[in-house]
Amino acid sequence: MTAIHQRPSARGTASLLVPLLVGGLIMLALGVYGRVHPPTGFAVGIAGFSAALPMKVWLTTGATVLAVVQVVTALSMWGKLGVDIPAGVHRWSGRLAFLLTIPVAFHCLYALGLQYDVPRVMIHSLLGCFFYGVFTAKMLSLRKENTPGWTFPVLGGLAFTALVGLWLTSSFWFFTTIGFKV
Amino acid sequence: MSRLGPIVTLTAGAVLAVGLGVASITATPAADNTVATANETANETPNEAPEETPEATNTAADPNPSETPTFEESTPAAPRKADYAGRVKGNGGLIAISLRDGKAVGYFCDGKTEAWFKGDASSADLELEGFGGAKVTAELGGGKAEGQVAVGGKKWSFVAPTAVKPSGLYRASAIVRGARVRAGWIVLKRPQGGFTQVGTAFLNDKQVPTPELNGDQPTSPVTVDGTTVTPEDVDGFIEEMQ
Repeated sequence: MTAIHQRPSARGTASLLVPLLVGGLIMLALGVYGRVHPPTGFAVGIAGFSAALPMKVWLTTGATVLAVVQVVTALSMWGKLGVDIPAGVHRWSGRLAFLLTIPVAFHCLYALGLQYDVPRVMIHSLLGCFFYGVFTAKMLSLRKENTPGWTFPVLGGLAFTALVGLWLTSSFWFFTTIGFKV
Repeated sequence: MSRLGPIVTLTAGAVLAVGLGVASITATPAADNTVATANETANETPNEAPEETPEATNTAADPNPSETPTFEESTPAAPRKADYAGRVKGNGGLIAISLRDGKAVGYFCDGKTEAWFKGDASSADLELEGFGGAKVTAELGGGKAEGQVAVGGKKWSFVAPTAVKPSGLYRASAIVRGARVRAGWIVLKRPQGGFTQVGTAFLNDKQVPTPELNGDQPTSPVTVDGTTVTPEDVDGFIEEMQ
């Protein structure tokens, strides 16, 4: 009995090796790039906002709202809600959330770089790198069979937590220190 | 299909990032190259001996004479990114001007009076407006900004060499329990060591004692009237100034 339970789990953990490794490399690569690349102070972004910061603030807020949708739809997939939400909702809200974060992260890394001088900025910098690493690991492990049962809850949960942390250290800070503006 | 889905997602993100990268690289260089070459040859004679050793290398531009595009405009373009800080002659104050992507901010402060300025940095002839008729006009070139500042009906001239961190302009603003705290500083590194700095701090538009910034780490948190605020450098606050 135990043996039957053990074996798939052991095999499953091994199947996570590559996704986690690649995720870790992504984290590291983003961090190193953010440190080595001299910040330009400028980056191309999405039109329709008065400046780069408001653009980032609202895209991040959008991604965070979609991340909440992610958690709800994931709970439904795992039968925790008693309501069946089509899997497509989870996939597409996730994709959209991920794409919304790209112009933001691009501006962060290209125009500003990784910075450590203020706690908020330091936490934000590190969480940003962490988020893309975890997200990549989650995406890659979706393709693996026999991943342990905890894989998606843990990786998805970490990605969600990181994104909320990123929102708190950027958009929430912006709304409370500077105010609402588009 | 569903097996490829995650890969498609990641690829789409990567493609978007690369696209933004290409767009950013092609969008920037126009202003960059014209600056240094046009100006630095023109007025290279240092008629002033500023306190700070003038930086030969402009922070913004890497002069690349071989491929300087000649644009139709006769006024040289302003650097895309540049920081200047120096003394205002005859009133003991300091002035700092910073340019980022076509926007310019300026700050004049003598410890009592202060004025923020902003404007467009489309050419090397800067004109920045402040509150209540305050104004800065400056000409950029040769690693310095040279011009005049008018505050409170008086006018002074200044020469501000290129400033390299930690010298430069810093600003802090916060809203704490409904009270608005704001402060501004100019930090100038002295050639013989140490720092000259001036600043002002306000709590709800009432002037309060200004904390001194840590010269080596000007963005370390300081306390304004019991409230801890974090000074930001120009990259940090220029977006908030609009």
